[in-house]
Amino acid sequence: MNLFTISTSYLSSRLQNSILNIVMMAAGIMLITILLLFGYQTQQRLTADSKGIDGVIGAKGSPLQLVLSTIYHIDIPTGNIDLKTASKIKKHPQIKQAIPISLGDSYKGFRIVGTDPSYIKHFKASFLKGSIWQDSMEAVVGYETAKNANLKLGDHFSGSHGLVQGGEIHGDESYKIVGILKPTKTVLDRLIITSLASVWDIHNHHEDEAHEEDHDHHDHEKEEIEEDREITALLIKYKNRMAAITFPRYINQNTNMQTASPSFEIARLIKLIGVGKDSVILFGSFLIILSLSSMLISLLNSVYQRRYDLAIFRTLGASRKKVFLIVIIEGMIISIIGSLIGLIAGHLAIEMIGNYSYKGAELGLTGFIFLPQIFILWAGILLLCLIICLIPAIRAYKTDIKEMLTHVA
Amino acid sequence: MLTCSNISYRIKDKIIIDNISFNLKSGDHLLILGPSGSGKTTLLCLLAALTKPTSGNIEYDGCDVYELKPEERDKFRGKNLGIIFQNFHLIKSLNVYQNIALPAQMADGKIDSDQINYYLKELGLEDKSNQRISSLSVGQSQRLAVIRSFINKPKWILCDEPTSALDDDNTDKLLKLIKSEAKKNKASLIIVTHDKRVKSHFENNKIIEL
Repeated sequence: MNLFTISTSYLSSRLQNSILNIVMMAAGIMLITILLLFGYQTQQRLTADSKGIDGVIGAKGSPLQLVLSTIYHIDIPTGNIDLKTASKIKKHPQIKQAIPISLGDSYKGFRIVGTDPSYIKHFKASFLKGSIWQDSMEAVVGYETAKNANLKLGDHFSGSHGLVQGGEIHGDESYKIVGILKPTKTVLDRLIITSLASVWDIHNHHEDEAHEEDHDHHDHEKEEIEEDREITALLIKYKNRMAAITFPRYINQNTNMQTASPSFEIARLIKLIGVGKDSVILFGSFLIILSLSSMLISLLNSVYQRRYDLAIFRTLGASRKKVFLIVIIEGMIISIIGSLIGLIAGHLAIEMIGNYSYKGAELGLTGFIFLPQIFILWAGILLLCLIICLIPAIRAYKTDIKEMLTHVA
Repeated sequence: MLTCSNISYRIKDKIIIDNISFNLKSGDHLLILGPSGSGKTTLLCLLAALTKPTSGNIEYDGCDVYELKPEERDKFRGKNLGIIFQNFHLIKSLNVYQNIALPAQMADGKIDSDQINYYLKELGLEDKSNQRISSLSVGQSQRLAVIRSFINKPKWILCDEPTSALDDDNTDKLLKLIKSEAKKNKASLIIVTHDKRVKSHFENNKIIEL
């Protein structure tokens, strides 16, 4: 038996009260841990996905929606832009690189992106198996897509219309998987990438079917379709910083398109979500303060209720320091157990969101990440607990044994 | 030998203990008798090195306990003095074994489990060593409290109103137990009480009336 046993025995004799304190402490720390993990990983993901992209050119509409749909693939595109105009933009002297993006279909919730090989190069992705497409209707799948949709090299699949599950399936046309990418920890892992020609071919085929009976106009319309080809957006990189100021103005004023800056839009988005994030952090902090206050009251009560016990300890030879330590150990047991449960629960919650929620998986959330700021927070809370425990411990330290024994006698 | 020389204790102008002197040889017994409010518990606290007297000295084998540093005084108390309280005051959150081991832990942290098991056997509580105090009968609790005070083999035993809540039969049994344990351990015994029934267990020359 040691001081730790004495403290734990007392805590277990007041189990309900101890559990309440532990639960409150755990809940506060869990909330803050979830927020810190979510915020950090989202920020990392957003940064990784938009790295090297200075702007997005797409149809007019919400610039945030344009950025979310074409870079992060988590929203519906604002519309399409004309391929001819896009080709002209590609040759603009202020543009260093322009990657075309064509969206519209998906497979089991994974988006099919029509683009050119420069999109894969942009993410510095390499092949786990196979290689880049050579023909129309050949596709390359990201690592997570292959794993979750159970796609293997050489498999065939048919995309469905729309960017979420449940759309009309393009049953007559199927893609063949010619490559599987290694994980990149970017949005690329959760995409199916194919040539622009594949996307056009699928949709032209459907339009052909619609006009199947009108043979006279068939050839003429096919030519028109070739002329009027569209894409969803162009991901661009400027040649110099000046272009970042002048080029968007040029596009916005002279064309029916818009240029959106990912960094600006994401900063705006974070600012918007920041209000909600602050509220949850405030709530988590409130829970922690509540649990610390409850622990303080509980320890003060326990010192008061056990004042005769503590006096007995002193008469049995315990020094003031020992009595002081017993109270500190009691408080710290609650704090350490509560905070550890909170930390573990926070990490597990994020791991579960990453595994079982579609959006969480899309963001690549994982609980198996250890942030220094969380441990700094943990150490800070434990220090605060220690300071709070000092109040009842000092009271125990100062217990007047004579008064206690005389009073009871 | 315990030597108390002219000990007094005052709170402001109020005199609680007034100039008491006595000697107690090793193995001797002393009864301090007095009505409620006569300063009995205060005297016990002075003797137990818990409260410094306003004046006078208390020496155990020539050692003035109030000359010791607070830490040393706590250690001295834990090793040399055994205290039995009114209502016995066992610690409810600890089990039977832990209650007996408590003085050893508080005094120097060294617990002799063989000795504790021996006492548990003596008390007939071997099978209850892991049980809570609440599972004991009143008689078992009394005996446990007495044994607890002897666990560090103290040279002096101080008892504060040990019989105040007991009937005649139990008073007799308890005093016999305390005296026999004191004899076994060659310890001096001081009982502070208002209970006149205790008087019959002491020789007249070993009684101080407050």
